[in-house]
Amino acid sequence: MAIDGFSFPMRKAIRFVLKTDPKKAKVLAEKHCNGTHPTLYFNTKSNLMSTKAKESYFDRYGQLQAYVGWSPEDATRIAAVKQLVSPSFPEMIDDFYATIKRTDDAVKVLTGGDTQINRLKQSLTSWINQLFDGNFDEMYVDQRLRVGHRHVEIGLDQVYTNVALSRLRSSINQTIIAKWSGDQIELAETITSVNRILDLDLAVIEDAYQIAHTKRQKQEERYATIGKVSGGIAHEIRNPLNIMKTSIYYLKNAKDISDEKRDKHISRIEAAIDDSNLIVTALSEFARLPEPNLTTISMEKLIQETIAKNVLPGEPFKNQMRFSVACSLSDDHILGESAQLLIAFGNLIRNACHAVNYEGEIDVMIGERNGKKMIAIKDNGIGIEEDNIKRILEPLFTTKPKGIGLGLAITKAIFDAHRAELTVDSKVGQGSEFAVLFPIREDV
Amino acid sequence: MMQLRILIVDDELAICENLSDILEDFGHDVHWEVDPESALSTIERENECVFDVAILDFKMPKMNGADLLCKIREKCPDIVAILASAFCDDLKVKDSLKNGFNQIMEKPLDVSNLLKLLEGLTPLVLCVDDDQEFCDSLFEIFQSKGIKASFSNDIENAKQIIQSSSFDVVLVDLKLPDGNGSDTIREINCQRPDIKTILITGYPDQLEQNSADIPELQPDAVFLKPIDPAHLMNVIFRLSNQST
Repeated sequence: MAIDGFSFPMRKAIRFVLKTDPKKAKVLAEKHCNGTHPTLYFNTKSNLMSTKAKESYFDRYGQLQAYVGWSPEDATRIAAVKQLVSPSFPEMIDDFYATIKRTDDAVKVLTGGDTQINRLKQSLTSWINQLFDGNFDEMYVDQRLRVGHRHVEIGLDQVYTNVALSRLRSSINQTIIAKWSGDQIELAETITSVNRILDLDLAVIEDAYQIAHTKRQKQEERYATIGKVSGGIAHEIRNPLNIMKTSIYYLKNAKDISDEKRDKHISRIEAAIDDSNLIVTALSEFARLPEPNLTTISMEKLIQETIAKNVLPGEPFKNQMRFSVACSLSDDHILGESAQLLIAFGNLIRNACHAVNYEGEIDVMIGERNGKKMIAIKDNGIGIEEDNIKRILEPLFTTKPKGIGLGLAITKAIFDAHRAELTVDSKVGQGSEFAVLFPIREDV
Repeated sequence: MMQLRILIVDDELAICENLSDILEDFGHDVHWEVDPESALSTIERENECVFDVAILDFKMPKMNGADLLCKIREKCPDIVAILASAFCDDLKVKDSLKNGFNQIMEKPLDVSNLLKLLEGLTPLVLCVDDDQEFCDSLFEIFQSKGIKASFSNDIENAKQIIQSSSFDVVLVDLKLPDGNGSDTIREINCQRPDIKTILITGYPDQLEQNSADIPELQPDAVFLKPIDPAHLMNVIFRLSNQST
């Protein structure tokens, strides 16, 4: 990227804005050009693809060339015909944009009027000149990629790339035929070569369009998810905030607070802070789940630790709820990261406690299923409705009145990262079984 | 502030206890439940409505705040209902105003706003009775409950006082030195339909003569002496917060 004609601080500002919002950077640059003519352009390191991605894309270009039967002779023939067609370039380009101007859907994306069209004509001129230069190198491919990228940016329907290129193809071919004076077989071969390169160009533009389009779609999905998540979080965070606020109000305004009451409210505020922190932790766990750091761990120990962490002794339900852990394996070791698996099984155990309303039976079975080591958590609780079974692993799906619906989604993500399989079997009124099947690993 | 009987239902135990601590500190009588169903059985156990105000959470297990209120209203049609929700943008919550909540409050709760709201529920009462002893004992009862009240011994004086203040409820004795209580109530109902009226009498047999009156001009409630003070307080509160 180069920014000329600006003071240093301005250059710095524009460079900063360029990173996030190129359009805004341009407005900023034009506003502060002080009569000089600023030039502001990206160099070949466009933000479409990394250098590495471009290299591998060039490999793909090679495959596409092979597919259409491209040979070095095609390049030679195309370069040889440049002299013949280049005088007609201005005419072809005028026709190209005259057609666009007649088409409402195509012209509506060109918001910059004649100034933009003149600039685009220059681009097309350099594009067509480059095509007939016969150097189909990385830079050539990169130029084509950027056309597709740009089309997504301006919101041009991809159908116009096809028809516009078809029109350009006719112009080029007609010109070659009209001016050709040599051998007819060679003419046919030249036309074939020109068609090949135009088809390849179109393929690359389509590819770039796809890449940019998918990228944009993913971003939009991400924004939509953020919107949904923030709604859920707003609710979950406001609850502990409500506790803090009312406790503080009481501490500030009540007459004659006893020591006992004061301590109670202070520890309540502390608990509310911890709750808020848990919500934030759950979110960040979900947003950034690192690759598990695998070590050999015992499944039974893992489960005992999970129960100890999630079902606190002394809670009122401990007498009514029955836990059993049975292990039928002589070797209960698996490869896994215990910190992550503790989160995952913790969620399953807590869900089971909720399902039995802290007064039923929960059986944890450590054994084998389908030749794989397995941990199954079975409860005799309320069960899951059939329509919900499919959805419980989706992020943000919840049937609990208080919950953001990340627990099972995190659990699933952790098991996925361990290449373990999670199966759910449930009947309303009878209970649920969540079984985790770990992959067979010879080195365990 | 009038001492209110407040029901809090929120599945968050800490919130129930916090609000209870605050509201009790202000002299209110608070009962809370973390489970909507047990709140309902508490209400159904009693012969009559024992709450003036309900502060309900929206998102709760088993039943949401709006459904809970519908069931509470079967026993307590005139309870003042406040919805406290952490999710006020939710359409379901917005619909709740139509579902009979008098007020929606956002969580985290602005406690001073809540207290102001409760203070606004305190009725302003005028009592017209020539029995000075009865007036004195009513004054004490009202004062103990935090209800603001004015007193008048005759109709002329009462009419002047009504002009000067915005009373919610007027109690009128049937037999007054300068006229008849029923006529006075008819006059008040005619001129000030916003004021609720209660007729008090020691002579139930004299009441029947007026039963042909059109409903709008009849008193909103009739009390026979000797009066049950607790019942009177409830009716005053209910009437004063009806359709406001």
